[in-house]
Amino acid sequence: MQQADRPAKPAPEPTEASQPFWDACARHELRIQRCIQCGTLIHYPKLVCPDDGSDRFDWPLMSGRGTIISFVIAHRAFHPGFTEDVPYILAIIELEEGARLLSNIVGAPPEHVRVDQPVLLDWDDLSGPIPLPKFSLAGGAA
Amino acid sequence: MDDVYIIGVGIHPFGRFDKSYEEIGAEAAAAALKDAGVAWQDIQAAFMARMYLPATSGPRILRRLGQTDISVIDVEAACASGGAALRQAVLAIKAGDAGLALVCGTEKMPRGFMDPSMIYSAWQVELGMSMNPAYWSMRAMRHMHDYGTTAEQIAMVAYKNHRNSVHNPFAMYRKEFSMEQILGSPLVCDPIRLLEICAPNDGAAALVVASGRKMRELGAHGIKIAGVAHTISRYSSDFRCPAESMSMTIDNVGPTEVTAERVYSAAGMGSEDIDCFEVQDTDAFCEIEIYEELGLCPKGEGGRFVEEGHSALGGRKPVNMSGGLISKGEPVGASHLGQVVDLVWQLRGTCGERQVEGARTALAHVLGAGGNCAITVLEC
Repeated sequence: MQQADRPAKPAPEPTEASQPFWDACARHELRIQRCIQCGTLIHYPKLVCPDDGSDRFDWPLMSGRGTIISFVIAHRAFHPGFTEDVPYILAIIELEEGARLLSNIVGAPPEHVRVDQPVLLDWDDLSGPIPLPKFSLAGGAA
Repeated sequence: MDDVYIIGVGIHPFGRFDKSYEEIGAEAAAAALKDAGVAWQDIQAAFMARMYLPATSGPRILRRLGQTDISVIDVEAACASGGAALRQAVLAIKAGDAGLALVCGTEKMPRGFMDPSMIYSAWQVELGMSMNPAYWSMRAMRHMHDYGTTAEQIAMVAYKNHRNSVHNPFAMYRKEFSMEQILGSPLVCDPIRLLEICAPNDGAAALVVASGRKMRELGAHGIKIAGVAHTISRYSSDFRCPAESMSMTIDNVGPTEVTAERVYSAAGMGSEDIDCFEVQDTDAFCEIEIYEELGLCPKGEGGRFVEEGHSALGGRKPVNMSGGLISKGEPVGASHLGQVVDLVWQLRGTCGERQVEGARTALAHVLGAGGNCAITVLEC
């Protein structure tokens, strides 16, 4: 609780394409853009489907279960808002529905993290104005 | 259709120099013209590959040779800029617009890691996806997990390339390192170490390219461009742009495979027909992945390929005889054309200690930001 004079982390900047994603995050719902025509899941949200060019989407709710495709430990902060977080874990998460996100693994020491480990969605309400979808190791840090 | 040939090559050493980019580029261009035995006034079109230089750097470099009323344009495609520029020259010649063209790549870059704002979105940089080695290491980590690739095998790529560089007078670092020194060098991003990554720097390389007809008219002897391809891969979005999810199935192939397929088909050759290779070893792991993606070995066996010595000088598929980017450095705009210059020398048989005996065919490969990939195949 020492964040009084800590520099703020940069806040998400929703765009026309990503507004529905961030609106869902505000409700603690992880919803990923999906092309109605071909069913492709698209993340980060785009104006048109990169597979077929369609611009009709729905936003299905994800289960929040996924696995770690790969990860890297950040030992240096590249924005003053992250200075007190290092070392922290950057990871590519593949959701069980198939989409991939760049996110953080939280609540586990870096040495416990492995490729292919199962993870669960863990909302971060403290980093800024919009809750961020982060992940923790399923079953806790073993 | 008439083939296109490289009839002259020139290079400015890669390194850090206390001189302007205009001087560096003009020296390489003048060397290529001299090697081809043609005058700047004979050139009908010119293409300048560069990434970090200001607008109209091509005209600013080449006016040091004189101004001649031709089209001179800058070409930018990140690490693949040289391949994209060469492709433009080949198209201009095949279209009959020019019989003789100059392709030059020039760069002058600040020290340290490349500017992440050129590669990632602001939020990715702020989150920590802020320099190239971060995503290189994510790819390496996954490969090690899936196929059992080891830190020692990754270090062997750096060992091989640093050892080759000793014989390359145009490389920035020309020093052999032991496996112990490489594996003991500082960790940059686990598992990638300092002696396993390349440095941005300064340099230039240039080619004079000609139609077959023009070459015969000049009485010149050229190396044939069997194929040149440049792509922004549809699925660049796997580990290279890790915020995207379009690579979510195993069937989605990345930039190198897409570009290789295109260039192999244009050249009427496969990797089995190619004698030697210069590839994008911006980090040592990347070269292992590229063996697999170019088809030098099956998926997952890249680590064993280097360990068994197949990619060494004297091996069955030598890779990065020049020392690779790990020892030459990567002056981005000049990088691919520098590979091509070295391979022209290989096919002329003038590489001395780093010569691949009897080389008749060669391939140059680069890969970079945004999924940019270029591959050139040469034949003599």
